Amino acid sequence: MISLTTIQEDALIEICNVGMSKAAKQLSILLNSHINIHIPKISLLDMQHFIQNNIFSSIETLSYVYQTISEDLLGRAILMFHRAQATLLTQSVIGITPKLTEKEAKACEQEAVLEIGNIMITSCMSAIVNMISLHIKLDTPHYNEHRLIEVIESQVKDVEKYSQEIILIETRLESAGKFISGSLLLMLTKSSIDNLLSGINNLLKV
Amino acid sequence: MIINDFLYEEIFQYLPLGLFVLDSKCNVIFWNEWMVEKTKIKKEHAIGKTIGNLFPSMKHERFNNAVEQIQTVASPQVLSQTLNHYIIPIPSNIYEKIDYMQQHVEVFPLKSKLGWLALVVIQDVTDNVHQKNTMMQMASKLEEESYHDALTAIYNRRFLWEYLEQQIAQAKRGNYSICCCMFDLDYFKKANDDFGHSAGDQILTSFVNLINGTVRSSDVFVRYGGEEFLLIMPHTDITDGSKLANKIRVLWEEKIHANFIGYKSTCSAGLSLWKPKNPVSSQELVDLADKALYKAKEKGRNCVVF
Amino acid sequence: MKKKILVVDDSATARALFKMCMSGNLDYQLFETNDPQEALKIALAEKPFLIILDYNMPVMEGPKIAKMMIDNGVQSKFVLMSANTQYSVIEEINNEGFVGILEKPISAETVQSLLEKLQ
Repeated sequence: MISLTTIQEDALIEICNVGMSKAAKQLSILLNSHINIHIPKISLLDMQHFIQNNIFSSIETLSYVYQTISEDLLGRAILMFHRAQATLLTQSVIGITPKLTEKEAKACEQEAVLEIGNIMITSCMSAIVNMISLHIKLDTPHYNEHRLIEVIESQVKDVEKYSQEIILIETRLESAGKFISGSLLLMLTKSSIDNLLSGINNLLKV
Repeated sequence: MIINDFLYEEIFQYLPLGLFVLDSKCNVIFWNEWMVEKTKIKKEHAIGKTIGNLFPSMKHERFNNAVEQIQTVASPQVLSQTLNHYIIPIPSNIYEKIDYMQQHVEVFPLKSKLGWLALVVIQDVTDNVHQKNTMMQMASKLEEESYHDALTAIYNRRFLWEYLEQQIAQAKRGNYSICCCMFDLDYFKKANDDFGHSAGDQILTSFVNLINGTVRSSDVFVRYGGEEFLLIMPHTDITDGSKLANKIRVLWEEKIHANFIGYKSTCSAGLSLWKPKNPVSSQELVDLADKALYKAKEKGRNCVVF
Repeated sequence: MKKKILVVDDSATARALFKMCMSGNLDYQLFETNDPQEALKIALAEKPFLIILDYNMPVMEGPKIAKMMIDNGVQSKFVLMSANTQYSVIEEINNEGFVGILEKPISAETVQSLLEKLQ
């Protein structure tokens, strides 16, 4: 069981808050969209806790984008939305287009959500590492659709190759009007968390 | 045969993709033949300049941010056609409504002694976009002109109004009544959210099949909205109309949907009546059914109100 | 007499970061809290020339805290310290009379130039 002190948790939450806010701002500038994203909650969790306490129901399909993190931090960054909101998200950025076929509309949405996820994940991670002078590498973004439990299981399987001890940092995001709500999940090894914390500590020493 | 540097260079030059490399100061250090051919900018001219220098009219924001992400977190970037249309402005006059080449662009990090270089890969997807646009136009047009709903193949709203006008005129002459019933699938939006849009389409089709199998040949069934349907029953009074509506309601409630675990299908229905003694307009008839449907929802759904 | 600054942010890390950015500067006395009510008490008692507020706080958002303080007679200048600098946020704080914004992540330089601007 991994435990952090209150101060350590506070530090991680603050750094994710900065990262995610920058990501949200970057998204609204780059896509010239009017999605005003705000961050209602950030929490540190273990697997069980996360599965029981999140905004997604166990049966619904989620759209998600993920990238693998390596070098000073090891793990995955995963951005998840309710599947139906992938449609809303795309439409709010590119406008409503007459639905062609299910397949064509889906292809458009997948492309759009992949890019949106890519922008948010990389903006968030680059803001974080810029703050604390760490070096990381991210791999190609991937898009998929699954139920929550399948997402978590497949992602954990990959991260467990580095280490059995995994910490989740969940940042919830919401658009004004709450019609789009999602989660950015940072799945990191315990040693990655230690690297983050020592990076933050270094910031606080002159 | 060993693939040597010269061969790699040849491959890089002749791939049917735009390829160029930017150094850590965002200057072009490599520019392939495809780029020369499409942009008319020679290699010697491009090297040492930034993309902003080479294309001053271009909107840089997304592209510059992508390159920045390569330099800081070595993260591959996707710049989709869906969201950006194109990055490098290359005029295109093949298709009437497309002025610039439509592009799918990806940027990859390349390691070097001086930090991360950015490899930009440009795919021309203009043909695909044109095809998609054309088909969307056709689909729109068909939908507008036809009398049938694209998904379920039953009649659509456009048909409804013309048909109802005719029916009312006939009912006046023949001195009989028309019963109108509006159905709405309960919690349809939730099913869409839980199981996805294609599930929603299946549910709608399933409902339509059920109704088609239940109504009489003189009845007309129309798709009125996303999950709303109208059943027009000439020569029918309110009692018989509500019996039929209730039969449909029960059949739908009892229907098992094996693919959608946890989905309980129910519908609500509201009835209205056109009779010679109370000859309302077609719009009023539908509005009355709508109001009755609203009452059915208020009563807790899965019921018929008239 | 040292000039007083009050920092209100629910993150201890954020407050510590601010203190660190001010660490070379001996002209100012710093106060900090994470609680809006305590912030009001300090503001009324110490009369700081500058109050720095975070946007996203659990009990009350930054701009609402500013409004609450102004309604209670606080006459300090208000600055938003936040990573959330989207257009809608900037518009909101301009309406509430904030005199500036400190964008997170902050640095000694950005804090210095803000203080110079406010002299």
